[in-house]
Amino acid sequence: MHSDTLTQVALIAQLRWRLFRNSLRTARARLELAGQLVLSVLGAVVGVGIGVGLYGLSFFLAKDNRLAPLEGILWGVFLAWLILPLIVAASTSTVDFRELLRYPLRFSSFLLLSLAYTLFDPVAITVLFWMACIFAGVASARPDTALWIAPAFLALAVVTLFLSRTLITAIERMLCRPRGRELFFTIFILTMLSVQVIGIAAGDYLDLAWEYLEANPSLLLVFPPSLAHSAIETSLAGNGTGALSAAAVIALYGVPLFLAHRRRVLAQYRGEDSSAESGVAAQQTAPVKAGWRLPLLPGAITALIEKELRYAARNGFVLINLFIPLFIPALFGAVAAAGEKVPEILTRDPATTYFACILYTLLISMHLVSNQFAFEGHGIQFLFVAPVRFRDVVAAKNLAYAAAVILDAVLIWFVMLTFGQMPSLPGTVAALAALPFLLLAQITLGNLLSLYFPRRFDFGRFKQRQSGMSVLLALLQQIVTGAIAGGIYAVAHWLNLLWIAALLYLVLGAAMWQVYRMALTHYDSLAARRRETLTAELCHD
Amino acid sequence: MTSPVPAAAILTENLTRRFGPEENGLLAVDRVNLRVETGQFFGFLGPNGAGKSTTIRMLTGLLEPTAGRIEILALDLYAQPVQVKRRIGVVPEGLALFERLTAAEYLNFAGRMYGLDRHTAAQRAAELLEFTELADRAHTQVGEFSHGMKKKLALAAAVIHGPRVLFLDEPFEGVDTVAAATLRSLMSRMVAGGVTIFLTSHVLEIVERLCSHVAIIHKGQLVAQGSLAELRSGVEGRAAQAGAEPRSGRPGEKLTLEQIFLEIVGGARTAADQELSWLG
Repeated sequence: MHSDTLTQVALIAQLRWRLFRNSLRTARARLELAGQLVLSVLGAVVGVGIGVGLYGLSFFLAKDNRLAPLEGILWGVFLAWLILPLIVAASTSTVDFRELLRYPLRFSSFLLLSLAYTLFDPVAITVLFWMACIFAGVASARPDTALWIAPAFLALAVVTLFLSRTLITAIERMLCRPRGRELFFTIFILTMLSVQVIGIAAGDYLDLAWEYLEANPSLLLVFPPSLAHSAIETSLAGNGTGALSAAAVIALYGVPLFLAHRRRVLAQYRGEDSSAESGVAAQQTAPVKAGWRLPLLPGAITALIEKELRYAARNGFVLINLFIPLFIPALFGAVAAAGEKVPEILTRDPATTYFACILYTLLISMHLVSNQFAFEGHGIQFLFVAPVRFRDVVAAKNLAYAAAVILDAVLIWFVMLTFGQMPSLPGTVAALAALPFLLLAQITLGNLLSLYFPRRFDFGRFKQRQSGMSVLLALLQQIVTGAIAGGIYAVAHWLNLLWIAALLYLVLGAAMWQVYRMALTHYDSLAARRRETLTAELCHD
Repeated sequence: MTSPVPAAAILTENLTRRFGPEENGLLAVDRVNLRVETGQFFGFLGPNGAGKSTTIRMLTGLLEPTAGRIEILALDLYAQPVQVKRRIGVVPEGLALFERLTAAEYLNFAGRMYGLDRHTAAQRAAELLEFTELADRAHTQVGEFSHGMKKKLALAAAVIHGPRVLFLDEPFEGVDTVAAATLRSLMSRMVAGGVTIFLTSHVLEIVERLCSHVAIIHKGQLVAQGSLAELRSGVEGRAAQAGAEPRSGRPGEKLTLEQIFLEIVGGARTAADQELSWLG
């Protein structure tokens, strides 16, 4: 490697370290670091636990020479690397390496940093660790094969790394353009529909296809996880060169993926600004239409809600969070329709599934509430100079969010109905009655976290840094209120008294409403005290 | 019997802002007493870091003073913030734009936030887009606009409700001649209609041409305040007392605002031969 490149990488590492040290001068930053550390420890415990499990499983499967399940495990880890970053992006702390473009970096340094950035992701570290555990399990059971299967694991890790990066940048690019967003959500809706159509209309064909794949496993051999599995199989059978051949084929995948990644990084190096590609509209002279009118609401609140919903509709990141919960019942429904085994509780008791889906909806959209001003940018100044109380601003945001979550809850119900999993009436009422309690608890804390731990987010980008302390506190709140609601539901379900649960939820909701109102009355003075932090955080370019 | 003193459009008493702890923090604005009369076109000047933006941020409610009082149109800004904000328009340094709304949506939004009904807001938005020559980009998202277009839009949003006092932080910075002419035209029209305009700017030629009154802040302290003629005579008087030549170097010729400014805050730096010799 060029010595200039190494010098630049070292200088940037030094710069980041200084930035980190300087960032710890305020109490808020130290709190955020503490939150991040606690989250990291929790994440590490879960990640290491799964890793140890994978090690043991791989060890015993290799020891007993029962290798078929290993293929499924490798596929699971491979898919986890591709899918998890999309789901947990908001709660992971990452660095945007594109900011480094302001320095005179060579392209080679920039490319190297882009890969380091990908590896710096907690999901990538976790999945790499899992792969290492599987490798260690097999290698411990059969030490003689370790050297032969190592290249296959290494190649699989590298290929998955490139594929994950390519996938994320492709989605980011798609979401940052209005037409791309439309296309993405058309694909999303079509996928949901096709899952249903394929699941019901083509269920028999799917069964046949599955049986055919089971009878002809070699068809899967074109994919990296199956190739890695093949490397283990051939190696354990004493054919080391076969394992090396499989590794070489996996590595071949890496070539086009690396080139695609290099092409993207080159475009960014040359100054492409994905966040500025949105909304380029042709010059139009259409008349200016009047804003929305919502019954019972004052004009300023209506204007704020209109702005919130327009922003959400133009923000792929937010839309994904609001649409993902619909997938869960659709997935179970489709699998059930295709005749596959589904956890019994999910098919036997759709009401419980529905309740779980609502909890999941609130969990996945948690960061939309705990960092509500993330996308305002310089617009936050407008909210401070406008003749509107800040409590009204945040109440409008709460209303818009609550409307989206309630819409989700209704849509989930219809998705379940479509798949023949209609929740019972008492179950539906109980789940909907729990919603005010859960929602009010979430937004009461979220309103405060948004003031105390604000973070600026840009449109059309995944993997933006959320405050660690904010994530931790929001997560704790979700766990506590989820446990209370879940506990009541479980007991009521066991006693067959879901109506009582609904009443209890309404009482809890009324109590939480008082807490919410009380917090809101203090919001103006809190916002006034926090306005400098908010504007400084959201208005920096 | 004396007639009561008419209320000022903007009045500050010992306005102070300190950043950081009292013992070693930065005193950005130090006991500033400003008085801007109704209908004045007021320029607030100062070198970089003098305290201009800090002052205007306090005057518009974006920053809380450490001490002192602010009255806008005889209303206490911190006791009656909503009432004051209804009467003023603000274009802050960052322009306060929502970049993912279209220009028309943003003006509609601004109008309704300032209490206009939706039809009036839409009608005024259309008129303002026409006036600022942004009508053909009414349905383009603000994020796609050039800097000059953003400034025009921010000004349009700040005046959509017909404010009585308008605060502008560096309205001409980074704006081309054509956009600047549009901004000037809108401001002149407002002042002619009795609106008070308070602006900060580094472009002294424009301030000299537009403003009837000027204040200069230096190292957090107000060092001059008055009409251009008052400032000029003050500087000339001081120069005469000290027996120095006028800066214009041409007897009988009026001092420009730039010359007055340099006289008050200190002259330009002249690099010694040995300084920065590596620059070539």
